[in-house]
Amino acid sequence: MKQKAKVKIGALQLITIFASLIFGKAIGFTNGGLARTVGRDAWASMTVALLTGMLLLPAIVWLARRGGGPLIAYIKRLLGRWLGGLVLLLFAVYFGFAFATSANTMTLHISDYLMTETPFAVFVVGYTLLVTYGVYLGLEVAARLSVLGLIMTGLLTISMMAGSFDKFNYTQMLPMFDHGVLPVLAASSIAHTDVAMVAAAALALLPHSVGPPGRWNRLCWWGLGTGGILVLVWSIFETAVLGPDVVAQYLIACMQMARAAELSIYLHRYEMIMVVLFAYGVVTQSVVTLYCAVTLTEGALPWRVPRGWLILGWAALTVPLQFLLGNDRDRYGIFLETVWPAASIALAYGLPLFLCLVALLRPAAAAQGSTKSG
Amino acid sequence: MGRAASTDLKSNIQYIKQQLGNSFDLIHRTFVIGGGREGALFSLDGMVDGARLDALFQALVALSNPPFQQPQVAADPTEQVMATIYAAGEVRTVTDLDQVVDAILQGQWALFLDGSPRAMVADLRKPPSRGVEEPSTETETRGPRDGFTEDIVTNIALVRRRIRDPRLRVDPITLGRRTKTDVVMIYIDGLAKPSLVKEVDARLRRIDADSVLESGYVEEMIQDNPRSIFGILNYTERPDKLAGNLIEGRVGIIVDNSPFVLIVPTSFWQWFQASGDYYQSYMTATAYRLTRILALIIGLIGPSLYTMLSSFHHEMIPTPLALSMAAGREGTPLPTLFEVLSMTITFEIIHEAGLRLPRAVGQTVSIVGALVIGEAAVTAGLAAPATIIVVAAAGLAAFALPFYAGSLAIRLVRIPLLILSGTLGVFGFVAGTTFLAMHAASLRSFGEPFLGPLVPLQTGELRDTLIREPWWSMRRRPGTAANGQRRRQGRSVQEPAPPGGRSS
Amino acid sequence: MRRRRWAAVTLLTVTLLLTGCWDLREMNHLALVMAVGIDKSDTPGRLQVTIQVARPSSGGKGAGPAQGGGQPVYIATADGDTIFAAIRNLAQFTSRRIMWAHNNIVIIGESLAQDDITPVIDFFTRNQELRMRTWIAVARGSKARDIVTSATGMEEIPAVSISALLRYAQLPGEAVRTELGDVLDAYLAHDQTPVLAALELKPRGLKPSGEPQQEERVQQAVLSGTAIFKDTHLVGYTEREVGRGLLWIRRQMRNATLSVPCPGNKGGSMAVEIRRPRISARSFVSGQTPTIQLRVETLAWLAEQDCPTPNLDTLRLKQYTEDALAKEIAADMRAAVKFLQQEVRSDAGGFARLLHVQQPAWWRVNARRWDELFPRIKTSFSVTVKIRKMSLYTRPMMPSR
Repeated sequence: MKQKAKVKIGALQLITIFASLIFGKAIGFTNGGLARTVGRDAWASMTVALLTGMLLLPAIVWLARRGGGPLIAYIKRLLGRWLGGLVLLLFAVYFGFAFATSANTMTLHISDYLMTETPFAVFVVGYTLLVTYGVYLGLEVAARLSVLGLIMTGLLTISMMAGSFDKFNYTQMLPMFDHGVLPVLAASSIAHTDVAMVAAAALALLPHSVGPPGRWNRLCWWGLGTGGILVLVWSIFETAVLGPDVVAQYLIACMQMARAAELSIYLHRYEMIMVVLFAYGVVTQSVVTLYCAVTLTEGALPWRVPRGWLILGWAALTVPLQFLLGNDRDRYGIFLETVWPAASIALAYGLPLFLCLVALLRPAAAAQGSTKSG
Repeated sequence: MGRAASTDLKSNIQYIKQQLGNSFDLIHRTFVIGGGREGALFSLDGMVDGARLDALFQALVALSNPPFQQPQVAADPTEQVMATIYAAGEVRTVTDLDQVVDAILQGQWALFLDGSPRAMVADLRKPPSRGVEEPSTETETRGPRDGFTEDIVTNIALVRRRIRDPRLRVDPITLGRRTKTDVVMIYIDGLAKPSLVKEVDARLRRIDADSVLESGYVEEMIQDNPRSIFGILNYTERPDKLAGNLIEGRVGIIVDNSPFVLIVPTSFWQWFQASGDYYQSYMTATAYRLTRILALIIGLIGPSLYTMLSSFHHEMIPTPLALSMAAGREGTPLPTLFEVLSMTITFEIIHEAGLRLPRAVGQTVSIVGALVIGEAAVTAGLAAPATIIVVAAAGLAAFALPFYAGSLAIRLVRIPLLILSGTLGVFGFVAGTTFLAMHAASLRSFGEPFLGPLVPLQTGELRDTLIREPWWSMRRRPGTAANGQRRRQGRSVQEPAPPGGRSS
Repeated sequence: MRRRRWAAVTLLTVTLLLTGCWDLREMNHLALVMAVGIDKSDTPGRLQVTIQVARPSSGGKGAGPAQGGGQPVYIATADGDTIFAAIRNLAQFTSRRIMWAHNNIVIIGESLAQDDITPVIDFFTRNQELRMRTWIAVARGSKARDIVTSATGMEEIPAVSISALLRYAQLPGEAVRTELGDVLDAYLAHDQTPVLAALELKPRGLKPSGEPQQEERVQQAVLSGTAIFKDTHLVGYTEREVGRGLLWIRRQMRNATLSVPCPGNKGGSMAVEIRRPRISARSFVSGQTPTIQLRVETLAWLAEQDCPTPNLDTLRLKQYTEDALAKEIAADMRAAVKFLQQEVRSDAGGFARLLHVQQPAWWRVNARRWDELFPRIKTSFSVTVKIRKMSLYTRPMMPSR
């Protein structure tokens, strides 16, 4: 297979990529879903999901280290050409859906709050074009964009905190575990949709890391931690400023937050500032997920397809997908709270753990890779 | 490759005259030296130093004196003649007639002797040139006042004068089939990355053009991203700026006949660096650098932001401002997008007209044009007052960049951004800006990321990007240099302190 | 290949742009609503919407209505089955598209509020143009329409004056100020009861004596207590003391001016300014009914003293004022609790929320019976006032002899 120059990503940029991967959709949709399920304990569910993710990541790091090279070759070695291809394709489909949810985060924000007259399809097509360009430019550009994204996200979070601090009422978060502890644990599955994206992406991206594999664990934790803290800040502020019932009432909770923030009486609206600052992080998320989908498909297919066609093909496939998912907002909400968590956990956690199991059972195939690369 | 000189003077003369034609400025003198041997001298009028040419003729007169009348003079007296005419420059011999023609075209003189298959050639070049003047495109309030000229030798000397390092390398190459322009690559051996020097050299050698009249020709032939508006290379008219960049490990490309010296690799943050920054207090320098970045942002997104707010997202405008903007818009016939677009184009026309007009008329016309058009457009109800303010502010802001080519790029880029924002509102704006960000992030200039060291983030390198740290704090060389991140200043703490100020 | 791809992308982009501009609305085609009032229509079952729209030609430039020609605001009203329908009907005769984004305040007519506030809360929080921080108030004793049409305050646009009233409502410390978002939260939450600011029309503003007068006084909207709700309908208003007491109980008191009688019962009073009050609430459950203990600690400045105090030095005067003030605050709170528990039977003080947070176990069992339990909740108050200065004076005011 003809490959261009090998993609290399610095450690710092991997951290920012992971942080961007978790942030976008999490503050937009996940908190609403969590609030609908566990009310004022949304942030606790989110914390549970983050901590579980942190515990699960070492397994994925172990698998990626074991592979000692590109994921595609390793999976094919582990499972054989056809089964490996199937698993890769499953991964690709997961990333395709992940891209669709990420893209819908952006498009629905704009469509619902800022430009209600414009047909939804326009945003879907326009945004997909933008992300396609990003995928065409490649992973390194996405990595660089993620640095900008994190800076902007930080600015957004700080200004949101400043704009709504006077309405911050911590008692809104009390009493803790109002619905009991078990529902909180169960509801964390909704938050896992975002953490799982980091897990799946870690498996795909870690082999591109410049840093020594010994530091991958820490790298993942830092990424997840940075993104997780930002997401938690939003989760806590949404509950404490708006009240859990208001958060639950709306599909896009973070925009509701923006409607309640005011940067002094002069800048009394926040929605557009929010979307503008938020865009870089979400675009990074979209580019990385679509990139993974394209790359994994490239590896999964037994025959060679030019990359440009794959990118266009995936873009063309996801346009109707995004439209079908997002156009009916109510169904989309239900999808995000039921179907998507189940699928994410099964694919993004289940598959790697299954691969770990295979790697343990077939050490010969696993070892082959590390000697080859070493 | 060329035609060898013959021993027959006549055929040599004939060949030269055939090559150069019957040019008005061709000096062709024949003379006889001792022993009745004939000789001929060629040079181009105006290209050589007249005074030293006179000295040559006096030396030639001496050639008819003994010992050249002695019969023992060799069949080919070239060596003896060379020993005599040393006053006329560093003389070398050439056997290829085409090389002789080249030498004459470069402003050297060529001397043929009957019976000798070699021509004597010496450099008495003094092409017409102006003196060293203050650079007109990069004026600074503080800092040296000398600027590069069209003469490459002067330009190199201006750099040499600043960097007295034996390892300052000036590698020549001649470019342009017809113009045969001298181009030099100037760098400091050991500071510039060897890979960079090799790459620049290779790219320069790849150029096979008819003409190279200005450094812009070279720039377009060697840049990494010819299809990008941000592909432009940094250039300067200031020797001190070039010297500073050489010390940072960059490579300069000086092209004869151009006072603009290219500097590679180019980073986006260089667009904001004025050489005055390094001579003023680091605090004011940082403040003004941040101002320039703000100006760039205003110049780039100001009109689109205004259009977007005024046509789509009125909720973002504070209520009192919204009311007064709405009042200003009462009765204006065009949508904001077309209003801004037409005023921007008008601004550009005024700017362009003012640029080319004779100096005496230029300023008057541009001021009157701006006032009349701006004021009249508002009074006639064609444009809202806010539109005029925004367009004018953005137009001015773009000029705050010390890098003129950069400000041109910004002014061009803002038009599509404006159209996107004016038709698709915040979505167009976000798509446009992220597209720009992705595009800029994907660029590299001679191997270095265009947006580096901010994107990708290299925290140790940020000492001279958004801010300018004080000199005593920039102890390490930037990463552009071969031995980046090594110490370049004294190990001791150089931060000035009053005597006895440090108790430790 | 490459060229064709670029051509395709360009074509697509251009098509997108050319068909664009769906949301494009120039500012001079908009009617910027400054205030809106919702009433029950005269036709039963219908709602009436009254909007106050700024006229940009005069509102912004400071030129004044005289120069701009006509009133600074345009007021229109229409009715319909729903608020949305009423607004559509408004659009039939307003020449510009109605834009809610700059709305300052939503006013609910009294009779509508007594019925149900659901339509108002629903429409204005569902609509993406409005902010969660829009002020919302009840028109006390009148229709919302009357307040929207009144010429209140010094600003050219009356709605701006009214929103300033609410923004600075903390100063008198007698009424809550309510934002749409807070009301929505209280409306949705099962353990909270909404309260709204109340605006009343009173003949307060005076016309300059030179002008020919038809009426002696101009009707002005005045901030007048707090509208108390039970479930989704209005049940009563607070008066001065009860209003202050309610603010204390809701722990929303920021700043207030109270007056206490002068020492010695000789008439006259003293004004005290409350500064930085700290209010904490604790609850105990013993047996069936919980007790709520409210603790107020506040600093205060003596702002005015309208009587000579011959017998008291500085420290004694302070002591007296502190005690009197503490008693007064406690009395206010007691009055408020009595009003809530016995007169309106509405938990506007937020006791349910408090018990939910502090006694979650009790709450889980008794949440369903809250309506019958509420009047029986016991309360106790402890107030500590510390006077820190007598504004600029250092001695009590009295003529020296």
